Amino acid sequence: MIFGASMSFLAPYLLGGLAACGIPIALHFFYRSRYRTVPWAAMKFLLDSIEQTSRRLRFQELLLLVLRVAVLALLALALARPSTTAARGGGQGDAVDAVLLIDNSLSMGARDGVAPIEPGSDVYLSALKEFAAGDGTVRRIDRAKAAALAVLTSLPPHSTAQVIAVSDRAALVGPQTPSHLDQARKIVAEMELSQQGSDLLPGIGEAAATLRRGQSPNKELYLFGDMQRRGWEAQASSLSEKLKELQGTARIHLVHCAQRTPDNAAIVGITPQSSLRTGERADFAVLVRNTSANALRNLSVSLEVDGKTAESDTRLLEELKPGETRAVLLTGMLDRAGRRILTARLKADDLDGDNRFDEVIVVHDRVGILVVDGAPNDLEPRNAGSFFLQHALNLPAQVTSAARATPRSLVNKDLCILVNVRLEANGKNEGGSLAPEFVKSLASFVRDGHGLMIFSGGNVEPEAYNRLLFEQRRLLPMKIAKVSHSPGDKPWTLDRQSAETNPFAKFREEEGYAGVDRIEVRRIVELEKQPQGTDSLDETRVLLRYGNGMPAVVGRKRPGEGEVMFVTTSMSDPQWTDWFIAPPFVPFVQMSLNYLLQGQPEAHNRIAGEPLQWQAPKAGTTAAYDLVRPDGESVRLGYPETVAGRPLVTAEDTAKAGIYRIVAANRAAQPGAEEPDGERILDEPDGVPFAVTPDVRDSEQLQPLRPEEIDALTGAKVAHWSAGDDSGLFGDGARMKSEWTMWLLTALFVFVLGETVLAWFCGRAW
Amino acid sequence: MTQTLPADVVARAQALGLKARGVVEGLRIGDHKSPYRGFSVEFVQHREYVPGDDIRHIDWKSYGRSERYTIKQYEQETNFIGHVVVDASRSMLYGEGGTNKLEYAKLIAATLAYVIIHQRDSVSLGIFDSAWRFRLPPSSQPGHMQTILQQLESAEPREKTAIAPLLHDLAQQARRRGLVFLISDCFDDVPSLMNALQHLRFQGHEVTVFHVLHPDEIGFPFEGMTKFDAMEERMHVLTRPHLIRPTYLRAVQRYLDELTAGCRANRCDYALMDTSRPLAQTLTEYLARRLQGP
Repeated sequence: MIFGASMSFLAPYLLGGLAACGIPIALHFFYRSRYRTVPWAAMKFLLDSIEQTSRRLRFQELLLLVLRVAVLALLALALARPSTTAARGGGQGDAVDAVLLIDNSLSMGARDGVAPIEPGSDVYLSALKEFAAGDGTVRRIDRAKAAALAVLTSLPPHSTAQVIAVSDRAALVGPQTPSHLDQARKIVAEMELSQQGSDLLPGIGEAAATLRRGQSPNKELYLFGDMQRRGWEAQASSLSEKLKELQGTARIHLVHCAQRTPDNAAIVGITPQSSLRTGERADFAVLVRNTSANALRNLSVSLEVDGKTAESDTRLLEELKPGETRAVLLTGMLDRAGRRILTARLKADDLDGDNRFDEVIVVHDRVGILVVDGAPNDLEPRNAGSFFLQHALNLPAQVTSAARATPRSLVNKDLCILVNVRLEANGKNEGGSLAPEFVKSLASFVRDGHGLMIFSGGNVEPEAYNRLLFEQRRLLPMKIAKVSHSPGDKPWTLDRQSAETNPFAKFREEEGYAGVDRIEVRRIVELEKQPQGTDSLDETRVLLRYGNGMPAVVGRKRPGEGEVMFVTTSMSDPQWTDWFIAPPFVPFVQMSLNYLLQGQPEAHNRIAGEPLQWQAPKAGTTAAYDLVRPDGESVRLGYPETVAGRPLVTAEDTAKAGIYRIVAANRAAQPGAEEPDGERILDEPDGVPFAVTPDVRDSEQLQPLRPEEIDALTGAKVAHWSAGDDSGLFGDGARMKSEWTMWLLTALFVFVLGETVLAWFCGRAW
Repeated sequence: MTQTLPADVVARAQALGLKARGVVEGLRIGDHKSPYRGFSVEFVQHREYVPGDDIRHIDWKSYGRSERYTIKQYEQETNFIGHVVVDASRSMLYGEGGTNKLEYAKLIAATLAYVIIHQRDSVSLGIFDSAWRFRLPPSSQPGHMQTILQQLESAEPREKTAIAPLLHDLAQQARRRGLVFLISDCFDDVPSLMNALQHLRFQGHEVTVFHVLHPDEIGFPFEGMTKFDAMEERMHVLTRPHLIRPTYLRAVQRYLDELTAGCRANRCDYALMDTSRPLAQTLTEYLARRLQGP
């Protein structure tokens, strides 16, 4: 147990009694000013007497005054009930407003020893035995719940309690009447794990707000958790400030519920290795990471599509070293078009929460791609602008020159790729230029939700692109400034670390793409920096940069529309770059292709805790929707809300990982039911699927922080306990030990006695 | 003080009378012994006749017994001069009504003067503070009493006490031995006072010190925060008197002891006159004690 040494008061308003210290001083001067005057003849003797006694009298008077002031000060201090904790808390026997903050993040599901076998009357042990699994193993959350129950039992009479579940967000779960401790016990006992990450700041913030609402001057905050680093470091500075602020109003107890570091491997992702078409068995890389300190052996990894376990593909990982991430190649049969659900599973480790990973993918029957080549070369196709691109696509695509591209070319197409296309006629250009009608229809094409990819090259004229594509059609993500050359023999290179988000995040995350950094670029189309407040600024993001920080790939996506991706260098001209002949070129094209074809796959693949949002079809705007959770429970979502002209259905409660489905209300049992006018609300008979994955970042560092590390991190003075400590220690025991009232009252008695004796002694004339 | 002396005081004092205990020098024959030897009624001693002596003084009876010529010597009796010296300094103003020290002192002085005049002795009056404020030469005329009473009545304190120089002055001026009655609170330097008394004694005067004190000055009975304003000086003291009472009383006692010891050493009479006690009683005690002799 570590207690801070700072002094606080349980009833600080009674410190106002310190003002009474002025009373003896005031009386002293008052009585000095009230005297009677006597004309006196025998002054000689009086002066002699005073000369002999004045120093002693003055000293006695001062001593008595000091004692009286001290008596009143001690009385005021005793009434204010000082306590030497880092925070304010109750004294022994006083009612307490307690807030129980229980960490229910993913990592709290780690198995952490076994419950003791021997019976006992201890609340913690009996609760732990109750929560233990059939084989006697207990999880961190079980320890937290048992310790919380023990604390609830140890609270003094008339105390109140509020329970808050905290992961990377906080939820006050009750009880509705804070004084109903039985209700609080029930809530604690029934608390479930989420599969969200750890961030203690929201929980501490919620606890502070809850404590502020409490009526009792005695406040206590208990945090039951595994104290893993991520929870403390996610927003360390704000958390530290919050704790320091809170320690002035409440006594803070941290109850460590992790006794060991578990052996754990997590599935951290599923990456399609080929294009996703119906009727084919597609390859997927299932990424498995060992997050424990020990090597793990014989890990069974399986992949299934749409929950068809019979057709699942399984591999055995013989050994996975600590910290190692391994891609396990598995296949899945994609028998239907549309959104399909991939589920990867892992067996045998101490944390179940990250052993399943779901992902929604979009499978196409047929992919329509239009490639508009601005530099075609029928005689020597190898020199055509789209030559390398077509090979990298690995899909049949319609290729046409710019001059021949018409609005009809876009019919039945899912994606359009412009390669080094000239927008305005120029006699020198063999490929011709795009017709204005095509450019206009291209804008409609994107508005309808289709993807557009634009590659640069010698035919890209900044002025025409800016005017037509940026200003008129709002297709170009950013304005083009000029064409820039790298200085001398120092070509620029790509910087894979700049790929912070989809679709190229894997370049940064996976060492296999280290070759991206070696791609040399000698000529680029330089983009203008957009001033703040520009409309397109919110729509635009840089997906990849060069080593000098200039954008390499820029995306622009407007809500409800398709995305436009602009590559600032050529994909065919060796004077510009050698990218198109570098090994990462194919993954680059495939990632871009999948990203643009899938539309918004990320909207259907969320991390636990993130809201699910789905745009209802026009026919369904007047219908209500339900959410079917992974456990089969149905929750009413209501009618779509119109946001920016789009009817959106939103589901907030996604704490559990798994497959969620949005279905038409009351039609869960009749998927695909029709509206009265005969139009189907949902194309998908089972509802719109969403894959919610556990926040695997939470299981990356399962080793708990030590008390001194937490203290150093936060700088706040808190009390540390281990789940299983005698609850009395962090209940009445701590309250009794921390309160100084008894000592002060004893000192007060001594001082009063001293004052009485001294007053009697001083009253005696001698 | 009224010009009428309290009857009980006068009656008692008169009954006891005031006789010179030692030898005083008188101008005429009275009740008191004179240092001048002669042939009077009070026999003193015999001495051998020497040529030149008046043969009328030869004691023939002694000659008949011893056949030697002896001369009979007699002590001559005379009246005395009483010097009544009253302290009228500002410190004597302490006390209310009958306990006022100055009033008490005036009564003592008047009573003594009356008794002396009534015995047909002479009395002089001196009123002083830091200097002589009034001096009345000795007289035994009955009308002298009226003057004394008037002067006592009109005495007003002005300055602080300074006894010793004035007693020296008195000793210098009163060549003829007599009785000196000093009536004062004696709030002066005791050694100086003793020195002055010694001077008077050296001149042959019989000295009586009437030490007039108020009971407050003896018992210091004050309680609570009190501001003492000095009566003879511009100063004050703020104190809790009950806390310093023992120290004060010790200082007073030391002073009284010093004073009485000094008087005894100089063979002066000392009478502590507590103004809370009736004058008749205190004066009677003194006169009675005087009658009994030293």
